[in-house]
Amino acid sequence: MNNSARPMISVNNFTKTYNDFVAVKKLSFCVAPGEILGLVGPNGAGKTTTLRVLSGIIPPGSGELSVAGHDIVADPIAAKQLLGYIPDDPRLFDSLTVWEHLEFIAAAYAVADYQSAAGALLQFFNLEGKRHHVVQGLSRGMRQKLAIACAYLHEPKVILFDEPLTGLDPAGIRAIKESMRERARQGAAIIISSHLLGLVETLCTHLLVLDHGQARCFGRMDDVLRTFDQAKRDTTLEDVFFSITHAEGPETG
Amino acid sequence: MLVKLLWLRFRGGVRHRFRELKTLRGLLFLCVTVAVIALLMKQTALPVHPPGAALAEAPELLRGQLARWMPAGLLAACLLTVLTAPGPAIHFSPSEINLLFSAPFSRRALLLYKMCFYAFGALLSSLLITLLLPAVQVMPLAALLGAFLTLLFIQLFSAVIGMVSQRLAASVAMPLRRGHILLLLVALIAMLAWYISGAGTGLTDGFIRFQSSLTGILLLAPFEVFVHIFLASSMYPDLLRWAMLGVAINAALLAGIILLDRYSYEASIAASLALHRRWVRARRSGLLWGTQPAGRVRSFRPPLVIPGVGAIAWRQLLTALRTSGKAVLVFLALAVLGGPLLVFVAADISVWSRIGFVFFVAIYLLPRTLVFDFRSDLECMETFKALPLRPWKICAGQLVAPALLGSLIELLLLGSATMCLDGAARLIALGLMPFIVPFNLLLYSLENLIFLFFPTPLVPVGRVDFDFLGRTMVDFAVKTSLLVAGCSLAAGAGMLALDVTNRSWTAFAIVAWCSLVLIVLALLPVLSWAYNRFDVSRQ
Repeated sequence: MNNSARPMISVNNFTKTYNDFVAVKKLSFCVAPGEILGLVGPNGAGKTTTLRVLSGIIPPGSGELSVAGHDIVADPIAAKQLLGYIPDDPRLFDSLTVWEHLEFIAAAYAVADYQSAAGALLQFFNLEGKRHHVVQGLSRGMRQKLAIACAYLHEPKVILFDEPLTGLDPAGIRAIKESMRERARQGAAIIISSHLLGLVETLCTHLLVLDHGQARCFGRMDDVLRTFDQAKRDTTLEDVFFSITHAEGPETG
Repeated sequence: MLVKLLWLRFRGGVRHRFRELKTLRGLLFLCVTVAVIALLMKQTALPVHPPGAALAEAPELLRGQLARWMPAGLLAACLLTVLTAPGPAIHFSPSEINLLFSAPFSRRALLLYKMCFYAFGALLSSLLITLLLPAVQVMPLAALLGAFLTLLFIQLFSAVIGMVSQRLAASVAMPLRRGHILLLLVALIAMLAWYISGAGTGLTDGFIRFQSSLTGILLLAPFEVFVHIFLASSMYPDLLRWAMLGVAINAALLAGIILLDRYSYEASIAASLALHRRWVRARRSGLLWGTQPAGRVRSFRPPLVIPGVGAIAWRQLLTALRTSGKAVLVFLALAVLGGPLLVFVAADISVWSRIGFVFFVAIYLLPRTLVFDFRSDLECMETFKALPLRPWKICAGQLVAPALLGSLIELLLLGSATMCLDGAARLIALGLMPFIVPFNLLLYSLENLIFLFFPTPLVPVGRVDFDFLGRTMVDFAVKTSLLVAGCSLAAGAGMLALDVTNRSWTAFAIVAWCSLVLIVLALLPVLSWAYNRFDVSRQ
């Protein structure tokens, strides 16, 4: 954690609407280098919209959003050059091989001498044996791992994960969790949007709870849990989540 | 229960069509479809008379032409259906396989259910055919019945051929079906070519010679029955007699399917799933004829790692090679053969008809096949939007593959035609060659521009899809108008140069070519703007 560092992700007063529907309303938060922010909230809370706007895929309605000091509206190319985004359902190019995906990303992001880094990523994600296979036949988990490898190839300073563990086997989950920690240790600012509250609780340093497009809670994970600990001992993130969003959890008796 | 399912599906289909009509777009497309059908009906109802024929004789002559060409057309349709079908049997959707195959229904009941389903689709198509061809009909009822029985026959015939091949392949352990059908097709074309070359006076005379030969009579006999139904002039004896024969042929084929089904049951499931996957892919990517590679493939490194345009173009060229390599090869081969065919064999067809045919291939058929741009990347737009590349680079990169492949095919066609031409015609053909690449860049810029505004792949969802029909017509009309406008502008600039330079055709060509290139370049910012405004969250 590095509170004094200049934030790598900065979102200020961000609002996004679709016709009359307000997807995100006056959202503000920031993530410093080395921090991992857990973005949680019920379905339709505005998590994916926030990540998509931050990655320059859709334009914001209003507000200021910057990635590594570059405004996402005024200077989108520079911002995207330093950003890696893994969507919840990564769309790969069906007719390209695993290795060709990495070659494509290297060409698009102008990564010189990418071969050794790409080889290491394939090794790390256990995809070496599939190097020359087209992605069409790969399992959901393998496709997910390839999408993450593509996002890591250009050494981004900001990484946005939307439900990163979908379809992964236990070994894959462990590898990706470890890689996230490693990237954060190296100074990357990370946002993980997930419904897996256990994952968020163990991995993230900070927490942002979104509900109906609005921030209900933002702060250091320890602080958030401690705040709720006053009412009940051994509070988990699950308790905090249901308490904040007033969603109906299972009866605990 | 299966009858109830048929009824529910029919109701669902009608509900879906009506829901489409509730939107302004759906209503607009329906109006366009109805207007175009009405225009076509009016056009075909007019006494279009072949050259040299008197106005009063025109319908008779048209019927004569139909009677001559329809059997061969039906044979070709049957062979094409067998060739393009992914498997040997009647196809069931994955939901039918999941829900009906495990339910307590006999296989025969399932086959009859599917036949009813096909028959309903054939009935809708027959209605459309009857509406569109009033000029060649003697009795509308005969035309409707003829079209209906013919469509059923094509479906049943191809299923039986597929099943017989499957049965033979299982007993002699050798791959049959496609290879043999292809061989038969090649033999037919060779035979036809032999008759045409013997006749020496063009396509029609050669075909008449073939048709009256013993081989032609035997080969086309089953198809003649359906022509007689379509053109029957009286209820009795004509229509009734031929219709009974047609029904008997179809019933015999259906009995054959029921008998042969047990040998191809598993293959039928595999083929059904393959067909479904192809449709899902087509709806997703717009690639109707594309195949999807799987497993290990030979990798091609990018020749030059150019950030931006190069990366996008390289990726699309790889997609073209892997998904549509065979289709492109077929087009290239047809282009090489097409030139001489258009010049010599079709000599009895007017020059304008031949130019019209080439124009249709270039601006409709090829763009529907060479879908290696934004049109096949609807699902990957999120990926493109996240790339650190300027929109114009992404747009320019997307145009390279289709424009390059389209130009290659057209250059080959024009080149092969040029070899057979002489004099002024050869000069004109040679002069057109440099315009092909900018023309295709303009064409695919417009294709992509329209797609970015209306991002839905042009693939029909079931029969009588008004949305699809309307969209196809509007798309074709808008594209053609814009293309003609662009080319007219370039030609206009060339004419000015011609006037200024005292009739220098070289100056005309240079100025027209530069103008066309400038129009393409001017379209790039428009395309980039359309790409920028494309909102992935609304898809």
